[in-house]
Amino acid sequence: MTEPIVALRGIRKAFPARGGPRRRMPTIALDDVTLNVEVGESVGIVGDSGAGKSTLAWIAAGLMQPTSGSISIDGIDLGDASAKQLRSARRSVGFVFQDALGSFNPMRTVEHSLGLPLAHYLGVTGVAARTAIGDMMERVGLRGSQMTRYPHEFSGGQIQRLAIARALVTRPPIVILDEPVSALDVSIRAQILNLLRDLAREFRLTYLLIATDPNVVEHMTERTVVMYAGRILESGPRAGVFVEPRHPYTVSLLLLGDVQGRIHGSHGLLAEKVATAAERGATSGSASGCPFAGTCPLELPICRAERPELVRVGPSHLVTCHAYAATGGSL
Amino acid sequence: MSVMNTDPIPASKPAETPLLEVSGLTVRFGSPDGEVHAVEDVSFTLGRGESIGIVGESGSGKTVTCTSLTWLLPSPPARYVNGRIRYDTRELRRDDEGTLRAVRGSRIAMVFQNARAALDPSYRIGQQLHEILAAHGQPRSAATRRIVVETLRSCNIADPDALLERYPHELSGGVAQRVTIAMALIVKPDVIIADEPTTALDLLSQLEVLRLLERIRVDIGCSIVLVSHDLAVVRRIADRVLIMYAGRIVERGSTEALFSDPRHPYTRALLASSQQRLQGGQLYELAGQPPDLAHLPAGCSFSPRCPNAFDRCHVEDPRPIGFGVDREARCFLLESDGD
Repeated sequence: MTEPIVALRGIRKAFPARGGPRRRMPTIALDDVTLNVEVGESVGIVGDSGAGKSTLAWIAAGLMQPTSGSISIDGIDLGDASAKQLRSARRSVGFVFQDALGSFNPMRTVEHSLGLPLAHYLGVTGVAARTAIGDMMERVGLRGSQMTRYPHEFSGGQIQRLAIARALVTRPPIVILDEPVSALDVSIRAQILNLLRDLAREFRLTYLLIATDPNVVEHMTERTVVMYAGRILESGPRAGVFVEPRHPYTVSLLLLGDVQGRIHGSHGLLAEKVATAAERGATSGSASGCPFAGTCPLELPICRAERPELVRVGPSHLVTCHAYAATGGSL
Repeated sequence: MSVMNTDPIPASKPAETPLLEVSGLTVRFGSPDGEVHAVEDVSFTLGRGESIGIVGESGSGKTVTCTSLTWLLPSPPARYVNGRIRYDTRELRRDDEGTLRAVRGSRIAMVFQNARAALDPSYRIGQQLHEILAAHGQPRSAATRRIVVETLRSCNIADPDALLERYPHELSGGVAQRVTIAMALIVKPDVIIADEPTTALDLLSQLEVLRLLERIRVDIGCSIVLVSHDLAVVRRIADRVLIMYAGRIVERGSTEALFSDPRHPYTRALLASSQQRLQGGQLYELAGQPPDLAHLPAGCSFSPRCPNAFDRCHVEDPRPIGFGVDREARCFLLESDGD
């Protein structure tokens, strides 16, 4: 197998406790996360708010330093990279931020905002830059003539297209998309998701797509990673995770997003139990055990005491769950 | 977004006289670009204990409709061209400030999309809840504290006493939204209008909020108007659904009928989007964008995006056509259907 294009090993990220009258523990946003993304692969990361998805995205793009762990992007280890290498690594990653409108300078035209990465990474300015910007805007379904406009003159769907155009204008091999459709009306979402799929194929992109809604990643990515409270609970190919989810949390997440009523039987019951437990006000799992203990309807005594090991359940399908390990897989 | 749609509450029968009756509501806004037709000729009723869903894209007039139910929008900029609101058998007049003040917040309460923006960042949650009671004639006391705590507890807040001391920025999105629901609930209103209450939340928090609204309706018997851009969200709660497009109600009917047999092409498109249907390996996609409300297209407003549009649709505006049991849609296709 070739070298992964993005390799995250043992990533831990702690945000320091803030001062003030109440002393608090540092927030552990990511706890021992390892994730390899192969060239040309598409990976979806799902989980609730606070699972650490965005932190992972920022770290994978080289925009944030982890507390510990190592990152390599396109063969460059960020830990001992020179300034030049660091810049080259960052150039390899296009990023679509969660708040698309907020990621544009309201005082500057779209041409200016899309021109910045071109000038910074490729030294392209002037007519050449305008041509590149116009071409990319056309490619994402806008008109090149709109580049003289300001961000507020675009609708939500158009701003999302602009954010995608800006991420791709330097033609990076990797794109990271943080909740690209969560702010959009359901009727507009499909337009953006279909566009992303077309672009990924056309530009042979490797991409990482982050969403709270599992339906969004299901159609978009080959591999799905399920996160909860800073840890990866399950990961595997689409067919594995969506058809035979193994972690109780994954099951509940899929059922919550199950608009077509595909999930039935014991899986459905399990998700209802999780939802009810969460509604009562779930207690968080202990740091030494499984983060989902306290909400999990299948909790065993061991779940709070010991951190579950990664168990292989199928070809590249992994799960970390004591209950799964104890029952031999019959959740 | 989508949430589970299991075990819906059995539909309650609307009361004989509706609690709230809106007729011919038409609201426009002046703009340098021309007059914006935000809401055009919207009429509907809401029974006591009934819940309705209003569904449509951004800019379809959902929020303007809701805020106009108590004439909340200042005029100007809003121009109330037409419309009457009857609440509990009496007419709510726009110039009757005394009655409006008595109704707003206490009889008809609202829950907004952006919970954090609805909360004042510089006051503790407890102060904000007490302020509402004080505004409704109950100054702070041991008794009001009990009301505040009980209301929060009924909104699934696990430790209400601790929450009273918190500031809004210390709350997660789901908890903040439940606090705003508690704020609406604390005066025991007859109607709760929830404007996109789940949109900014993750799936689990969405489910919590929807379950909470369901339970409130059963427990205190209030009516609910739930507004969303996603049909799947209202399915769980609403007895009836109104579909809005470009300021108009384009289809209405019972939730069950509308989901099993959507008639307007726009309703069908919303349903397909919400269910993320696949079409030739791609996600089903409703092309285009909602129209510019200052420059509405000729004929049916949906005709430029409609997959079924024919010549007449581009020149003539369809009137609502009734069919089935209490159903209605603004679409010429229904004429050719023969029912």
